[in-house]
Formats: sequence, C-alpha cells, structure tokens
Amino acid sequence: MFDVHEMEINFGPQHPSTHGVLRVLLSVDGERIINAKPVIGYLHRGTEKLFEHMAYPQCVPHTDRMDYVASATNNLGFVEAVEKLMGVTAQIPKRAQLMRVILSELQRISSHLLWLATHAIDIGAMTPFFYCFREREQILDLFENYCGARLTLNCMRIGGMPDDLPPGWLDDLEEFTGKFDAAVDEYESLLTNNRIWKRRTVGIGVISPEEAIEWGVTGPPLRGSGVNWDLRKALPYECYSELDFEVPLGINGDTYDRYLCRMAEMRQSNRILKQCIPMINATPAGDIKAKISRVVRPPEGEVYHSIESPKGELGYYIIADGKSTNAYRCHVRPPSFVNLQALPAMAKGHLVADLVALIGTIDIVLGEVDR
Amino acid sequence: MRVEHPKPRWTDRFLLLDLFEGLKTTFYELFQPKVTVRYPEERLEPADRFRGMFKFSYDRCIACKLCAQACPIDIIYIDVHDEQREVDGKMKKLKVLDRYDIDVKRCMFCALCEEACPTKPKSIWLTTKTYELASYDRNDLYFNMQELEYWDERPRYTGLPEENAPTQLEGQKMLTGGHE
Ligand code: SF4
Ligand code: SF4
Repeated sequence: MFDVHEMEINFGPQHPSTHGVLRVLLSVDGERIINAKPVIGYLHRGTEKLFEHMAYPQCVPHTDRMDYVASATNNLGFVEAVEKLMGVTAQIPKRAQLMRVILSELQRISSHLLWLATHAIDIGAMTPFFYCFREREQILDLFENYCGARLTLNCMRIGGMPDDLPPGWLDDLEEFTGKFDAAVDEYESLLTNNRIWKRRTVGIGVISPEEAIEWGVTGPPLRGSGVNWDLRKALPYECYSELDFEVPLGINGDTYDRYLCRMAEMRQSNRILKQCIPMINATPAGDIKAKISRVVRPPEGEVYHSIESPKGELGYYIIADGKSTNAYRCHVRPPSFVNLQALPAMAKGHLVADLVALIGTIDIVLGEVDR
Repeated sequence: MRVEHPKPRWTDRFLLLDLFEGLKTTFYELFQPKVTVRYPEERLEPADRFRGMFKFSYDRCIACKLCAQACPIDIIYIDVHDEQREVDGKMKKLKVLDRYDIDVKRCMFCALCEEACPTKPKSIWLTTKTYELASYDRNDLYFNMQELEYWDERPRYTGLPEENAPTQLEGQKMLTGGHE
C-alpha cells in the first residue's frame, strides 16, 4: 500500500555544506535517508607517493597540505614518526617539546573554532561564525609571528624546531589564553541553551560506543560516545604526561554531545597552554634542536606513530630502507578518512537536512580524506 | 570527565529566555570595537618572520646550490660556471652564477631554501613582507636573477583602478627589469 519510492540523488561535490569536495550518494525516500554513500577522491594529490620521492625534511611542508586547517599537528605527527624511526625521540630538548605542545594545542583550538563556525553556519546559526573567526585570527597571528605563515605552517623540523620563539611571543600567548575562556563562554551562550540548536542536534546521528569502535572512529566523535580514548593520555608523546588536563566525554553519542565535547576540549587546550607558559620560561632559550646530523637517513626499519590531531588519531607509517634519504613507503592514517566511514551508519533514517549537521559533526577536511 | 548537559529550566518552556541569552551576547558585541580591516585601503603589517616574496642578493650568493637541493618541488634553477679570476693578486677559481631563476608561481613559501642557505646574512630570503603577488599572466611569476633582486622597484598598488583604465593594471604587475 505504502510503496517506498526510493530516489538516488547526489549531495555535493559542489555543495557548500560538504566542507570541500565530498560527494554523498543518497538514496532517499522523500526526505528520509535510506542510505548515504560517501564518494571521495576529488582532492587526491598523491601525497603518500610524493613522500617516496622526497628527502624526509622536504616532506614536512607537504604534510601541511593534508589537513590544511590543522597543519601544526600534521607536522608534529610526521616529524615524531621520523624521530622515532631514528631513535632520537629522547634527545629532543625540553623547550622544543613544549613549543610543539603549545603549537599543537593552539592548532587544536583553531581547528575546533573553524569547525564550530562552519558547523553552526551549516545548521543556521550565523553569529558564532564571526566570533569564532575573531579568535581564530588571533591564533593565526601568533602562528605568523612564530613561523611566518598563517595556514601552512611548516613549523617543525626533524630533531627540533626551526626557530626560537620571537621576543614577546609568550606575552601575546598569555594575553590570548587569559581571554579565551570568556570567548568560549560567549560561543556557548549563543548555542548551548538555544532551543533551535538543540532541536537540530540532540538525538541526531547517534553512534553507540561499540559501533564507534567498530568503525574505527577516533577523536571527538569517539569521545562523544563516551569512550575514553585520547592518545595524549593513552600513549603520551612529547611532554603531555607532565601536563594536567582532562578528557571530556559525551554521554549520548549524538551531535549535541560531540559539540559539548569539542567545546570542553577547547577549554582543556587552553588549560594546557596556561600550564606551558611557566614551564617554557624555565627552559634555556635557544635550546630547540637535538644534535643530529643534517642529512636525515634513518636506519632500516619501519615505524608507526600516531598522535591526537584535532580530528582524531593521525598516524604515519614509514618504512625506511636504510640507504636512501627518502622513505621507501609512507602511509598516512588520517582521522577524517576513517571517521567519514561512519557517516552511512549515522545518517540512516534521518532527514536530508540532518545530513548537513552530520557532515559538520564528523569534522572532516577533504584534503586529508583524499590526501 | 563527562560533559555537562545544561539543566532544563522552567523558564525555557514558554518565555524563550534561551534565545534572549544569545541576543544579549550579540547586543553586547554590537558596541565592541571592530576587528575587521577594509583591505585594499587599510593594510596590516605582516610579522617580521612573515614568509612572502623572495629577495635575492647576487653579491652574497656563493653559488653552492644548497637552496635548489633543499627545495621540495625543485623550482629553483641554478647554472654556474667556473672562472679564473684575480683576487688579491692571486689567481683563484671562482664559481660564477649564470642563472638563478625561481618559478614563484609554483612556490609554496616553505622557506626551506632560506634555511639551507649557508651565507650570513642569507642570500635568498623571504621576509620581504610582500604578499601581493597576483598577476594577470602566470608567466609573470617566473623570476630570473635580476628580477629577484630588483622586483621591488615595480610600482605599488595604490588603490582601485579607475574605470576603463586597464593600462594602469598592466603597469602595476610589470616587473621592472634588472640593471647590472
Ligand atoms: S620557499 Fe619556495 S623556492 Fe624555497 S624551498 Fe620552499 S617551495 Fe622551494
Ligand atoms: S644556498 Fe644561498 S649561497 Fe647557495 S646558491 Fe642558494 S642562494 Fe646562493
């Protein structure tokens, strides 16, 4: 009697809410999604293959271009993987470690701000966009003062950091961290209690902890389901084990909980930054590079190293043949790519309008999905 | 740590107070100073370390090609030849630079070339605080040795072009050639 009139439509790749060139092949019955199939590959640049043809230090600027809104963490993952392969992880000076932590936490905040801005604007809340970009601009200014670039930072080197902090940088950082908690309160005042926001997010795209683990989801989408897995705590790298922070966990695993998780994560990142400032003041200035040879030629072997990028577990798998200065093979495990696989499971049964919220809540960057 | 869900308030049910909470924020922000910049009329000064357009110094360069080796995408083209020259009364073999070209349109401003340069101060550097590199022809962004050294003599952008004045735009992107 009630026939299902299934229709196939394309969502994207030129849709503004897909955050890049993601195409979702939808089977819909009226407004209900029966199946959603992400079709990727529009931004494929062959980064992994490029890595095979470049000396290790030259790969670092290319890692910027994968997750282009969080390039510091991409740099960090790559340089740490190579350092682990060379066995020099312990030689990295304390100051360099702290600088890496500061840069990657700033990057986490800036990535989450961009996520919040676009996620909110997708759902229809225009105002947070402006306030998020205001604070993001301050972070980008900090990056610019440190390394000279705003987006594609190229701010880490194998064995340390390229430059010491410029004078006055820590004061700027302190000023930013002092103001940032109030800024998060401001975003929350616009969204957290807002009934329209809640209608659009509560109960949308629920993913249970078991399902999330089965799909290999990491980062805030996993923690939004209440699984306590943060690589900064689970497998501490750099000096995260000395820092005091908490991992926010969601309860219901819906879009709203993932939103709350990321908001809490921004506050925790700010807390880490505040702790880092006195610690970095206690280290000798200029001690930013380990004493390793200029030519990076790791011994034969393979390594997998993963870090907690703003979007989840970012891993680099490198095989070195011991003779050349190029990697024999480099594989990247990008968080966006894996998290995107959970989209069909999340979208089933929801309305097409909710798909926009779902793509936003997974927080994908297509540069990273396609590499 | 579990995230805290906001507690439901009885006022939310009929007074729409949750919406006024957001409106309060926007109203407060209405009276805050502006943070935006009206770009072509107002410009921000880039940071001291800002990586922008290159500058090259022929006099300092020792033609060692380290910058070309460091470049991840191989866009620095260097040709050298050896020359016997008299320096302080002695004959010395010197490397002389014939060609030093950078294909700036492909550059990703990673500054690895600057880092690799062994001379002090650097012979190639990106901290010129110049970022307005747009041009109407992609080949205008292929810079040879003279252009890399003297590009800053090109006329600066001085405001929006008048109507029907394409010649002005033409001149704006023109890179005055070198003089040795
Ligand atoms: S800044 Fe440009 S020219 Fe220099 S190494 Fe990087 S890509 Fe090559
Ligand atoms: S590295 Fe410096 S000195 Fe050597 S060729 Fe390049 S610009 Fe000249």
